[in-house]
Amino acid sequence: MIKEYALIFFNLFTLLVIHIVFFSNLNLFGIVNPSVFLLFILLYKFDSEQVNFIVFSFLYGMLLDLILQTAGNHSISMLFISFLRPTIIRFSLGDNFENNSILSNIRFYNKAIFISSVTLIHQIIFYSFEFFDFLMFFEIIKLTILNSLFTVIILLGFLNFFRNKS
Amino acid sequence: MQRIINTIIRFKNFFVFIFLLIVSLSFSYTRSDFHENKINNFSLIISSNFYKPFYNLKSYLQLRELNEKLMEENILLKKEKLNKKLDSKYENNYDLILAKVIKNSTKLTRNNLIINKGKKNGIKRDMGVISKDGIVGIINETSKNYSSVISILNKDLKINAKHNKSNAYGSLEWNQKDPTVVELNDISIDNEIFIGDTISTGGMSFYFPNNIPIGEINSIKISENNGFYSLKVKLFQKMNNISYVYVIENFNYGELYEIDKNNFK
Repeated sequence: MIKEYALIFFNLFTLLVIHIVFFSNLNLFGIVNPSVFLLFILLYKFDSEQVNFIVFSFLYGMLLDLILQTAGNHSISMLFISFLRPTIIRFSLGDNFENNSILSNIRFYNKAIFISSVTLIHQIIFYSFEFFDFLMFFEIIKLTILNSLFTVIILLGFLNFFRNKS
Repeated sequence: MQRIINTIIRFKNFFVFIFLLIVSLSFSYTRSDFHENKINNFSLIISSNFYKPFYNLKSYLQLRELNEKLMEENILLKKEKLNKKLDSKYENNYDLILAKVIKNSTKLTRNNLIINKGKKNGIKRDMGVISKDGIVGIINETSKNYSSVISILNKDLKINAKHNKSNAYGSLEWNQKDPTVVELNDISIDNEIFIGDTISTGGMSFYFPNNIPIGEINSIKISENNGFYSLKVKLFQKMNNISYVYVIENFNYGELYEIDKNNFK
């Protein structure tokens, strides 16, 4: 149990460092900063207690907010996505998938839908709170689509890389 | 209690989510001025929409009180206006007492009004009564709390009035037909008079001060036999639509009355 949580914290910390050091400063085309830390949402064990998952996600988001000087946007978006994850799993991977514990050996098509859904919802919540202004609707949509696209590509690449390695 | 606990346990994910959402929103609120402003605006919209129906209801219930206050304010302005119209040496000769009309008639030949102020409030017989638009009548009877007013629409009442342009004086009376029209007689035909000219009180009686508006001329007839006009005057004040009136107290009434009585003995 302790080993399991230690692994989770290690993964969280690694993702955090990678994101802060590299991806948050990427500024591709001036606006794209892929959110690789969403790997945490994708890889956290599906059959574990959801309350713990929500709390971890929230704390992780808060840590990101504190480090990146954002005003609660990461906390809120991570909180939402962690709360919605079971629904997204049912939608993209099927009703019976919750019995499996990890995201492995599933069809690429389902995996892509799952990753895309998580990313898109996270990004739209994140940018909605970032701008917090209905007049900026098109800006929110533009940033959401561009960032989601690059994030999905990178996340799919990460997941395939780790699977091939294992 | 057990059921509540069970419900909380059953929906623990949701409750944790809501709790953390509130925490993160408050975090957002305290960390960023922009979000603080936005959230303040949002809360203002929510609260204003929430309180609006209650405010409307409260305003509606307070209308009577508000009306009274406005009328009090109005009476002060009216007093100021009334006293300014007079020569400086006669300044502050008049006071106004606000009263509410509780009964009014316009369809009889001797129409009367009843107002909710009486002797207790300083109302006396023969005081003039005006409204915001023009003259209304003269106090006829007073009791402790109420007074009756002879309406301008009463065939027994004749009021001194003048044509504003020429300052020609005449006598105003009701023709007993139309409650919106009165007749002004006894103005000599050597004055130039046109339709649309205005009529006001002449100040030749003890009831009304000078220049209280009455109405405008809408028909001119000349009685060739005696050389006087017979003018029809459309009243400014719609007599069937009076809620509040001002009773004019002339501070010099007693003195004037005594002189008048002694002169015409």
